[in-house]
Amino acid sequence: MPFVTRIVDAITLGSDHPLRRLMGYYAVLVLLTIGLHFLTPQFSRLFFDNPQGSSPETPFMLQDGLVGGASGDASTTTMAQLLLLTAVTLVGTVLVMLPVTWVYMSAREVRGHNAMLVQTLLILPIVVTGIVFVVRNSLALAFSLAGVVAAVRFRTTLRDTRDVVFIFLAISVGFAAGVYMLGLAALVSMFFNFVVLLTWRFGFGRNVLAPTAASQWKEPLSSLAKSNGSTEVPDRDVLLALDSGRVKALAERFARVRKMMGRNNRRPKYNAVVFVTADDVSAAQQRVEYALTQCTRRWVLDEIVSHVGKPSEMYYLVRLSKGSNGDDVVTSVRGTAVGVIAAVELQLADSFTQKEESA
Amino acid sequence: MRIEFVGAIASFVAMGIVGCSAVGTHTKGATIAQRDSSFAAHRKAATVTTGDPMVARWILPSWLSEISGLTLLRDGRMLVHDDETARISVIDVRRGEVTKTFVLGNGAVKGDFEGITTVGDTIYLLSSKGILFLFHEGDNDAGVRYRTVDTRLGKECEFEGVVYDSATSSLYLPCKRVLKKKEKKHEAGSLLVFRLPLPLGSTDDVARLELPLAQDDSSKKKPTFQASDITRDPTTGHLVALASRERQLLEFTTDGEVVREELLPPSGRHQQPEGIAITRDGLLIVSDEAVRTPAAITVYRWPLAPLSVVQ
Repeated sequence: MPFVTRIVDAITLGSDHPLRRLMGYYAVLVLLTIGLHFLTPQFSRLFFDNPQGSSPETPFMLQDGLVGGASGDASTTTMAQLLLLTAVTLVGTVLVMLPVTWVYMSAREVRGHNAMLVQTLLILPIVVTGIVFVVRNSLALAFSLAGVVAAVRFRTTLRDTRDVVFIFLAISVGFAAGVYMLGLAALVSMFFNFVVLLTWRFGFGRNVLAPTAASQWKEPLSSLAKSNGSTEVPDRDVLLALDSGRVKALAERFARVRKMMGRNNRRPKYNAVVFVTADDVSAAQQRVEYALTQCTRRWVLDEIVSHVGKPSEMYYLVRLSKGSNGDDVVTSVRGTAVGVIAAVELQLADSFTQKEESA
Repeated sequence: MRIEFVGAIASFVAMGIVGCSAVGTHTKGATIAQRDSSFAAHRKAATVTTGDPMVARWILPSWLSEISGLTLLRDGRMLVHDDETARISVIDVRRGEVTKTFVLGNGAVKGDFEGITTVGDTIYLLSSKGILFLFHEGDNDAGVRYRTVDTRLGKECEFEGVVYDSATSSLYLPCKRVLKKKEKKHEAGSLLVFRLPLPLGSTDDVARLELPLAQDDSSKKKPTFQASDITRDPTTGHLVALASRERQLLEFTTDGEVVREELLPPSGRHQQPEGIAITRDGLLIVSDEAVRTPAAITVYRWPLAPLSVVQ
């Protein structure tokens, strides 16, 4: 509904903030309701009807029981108005449920949603409203309907437990609209939307290792940012794949590497990392260090990670020669240590910086 | 395309709003004229004693489905009240129009209201426990001030209906169900009516009228009369009680002498008659609560033709 989007954009001044957009939509809805009330006061019946039995605006013409038994001239007007009120009620039901579907699709912990359920959230209240219109004043019809529903077995599996809550809300909105309490339905759904959105926004009740919705709104993961004021953070997806122990180890490595590489505003001492894997660490170390001495300006061994059952890892911090892009270093190390190393890779410091900026 | 779509929707809504308003205005004027002539014609036809005494019948909406009592104002307008809420509606029975509605207090007054009558300009609303609510007529959709008076008869009887007789300056309250064990004998075979002189004073001033009911020779059971309302015939000064379950009328004098009993006309299809009133120009008005059929107000000529008389 692009025209609805444009109206909301105009009210929220183009803001992408979910809460503001929701408030903008409800502002449009309230203005529409007020306009409808001033145009035709009878529509106020839709919003807060008297549960004891509506008292329409008097004077009120009664149906003539002697003319056809149930209809007369006065009923023609009443029927037309009743049909119009019913149509407006159904449209109002859709307008009330529309933001609920948006919240359902957006405020989720798990990616993806049930598209059929989204449509159900719009259609179910309309059906329930119609059912309530039919059985409103007849106990016999209500029991008959209960019997029909019981005879038809409904089985559905909802992936998310919250989906059940949305279904219940749809049913309650339908019931409220059916008894001309559309105002109550709107209030309930509005409150529901904001509560769902805010609990999702602040991750109420979440696992502390799970990402919060705050990250969706481009706020940094400040717990892993440097205490020296730098706002650069490690790659978020990388961190999400790690447990707390590994996150800490990785953070310490980055801190150590950054210290050696220097800050962005200073000339780095080293500008690349050479990563070598080998089974025989001592033999590989001798040859790799000989090659690095020949083709780099300076180098230092950062760390050796020994493994059992698979090749060990050696990390060297290097300062490349002027004009070198690192390919010659890789070629030299391979050529010198052929047969004793499994693989060699070189990572320039610029690529680290680019990854941090994109995170 | 979108602009045309929005424009079409807006036009449809505007036409619907304007059309309904216009249709309403046009139809109401024609309806009133038609009903005036129809009522006069039925009234004329109903004056023939052998014909159907029904003059008019009005179907009530859902919000008037539980009318529990009727009374008439001096100018002929009829007041009706709900069973559980203190809401009073004014109805023109000749045109079938609800002219206004007002409530007691802020509209939250609840109770089991069973009867209504007028004493001068004051309206008396009676609960089944013998509590009287006194107030004056209010404007449309207004909340009127009221005060309550306890007849202190609530422990003796469950009341259904009240009427004021100006000749005796007394309220007459028929008893639907006797609560005192020693008075239980009055439940069958007779109708117990309490007479309270105004202004209300001590319960010692209360008189009890025991009206004997006619026994059907073919049945051994004592006749019953489950009173649901009572009214006064302005022409004769007699009181007329209405029985809901028996669909019967009992006419008696203010001294407790039974004049006659008669059944409601079967053409009225009364499911649960709860209210009764008699006009100065000879019309009997009976209101029915909604049961299997919608609530209705039926107007007959008065007195009814003697279709069935139980002696």
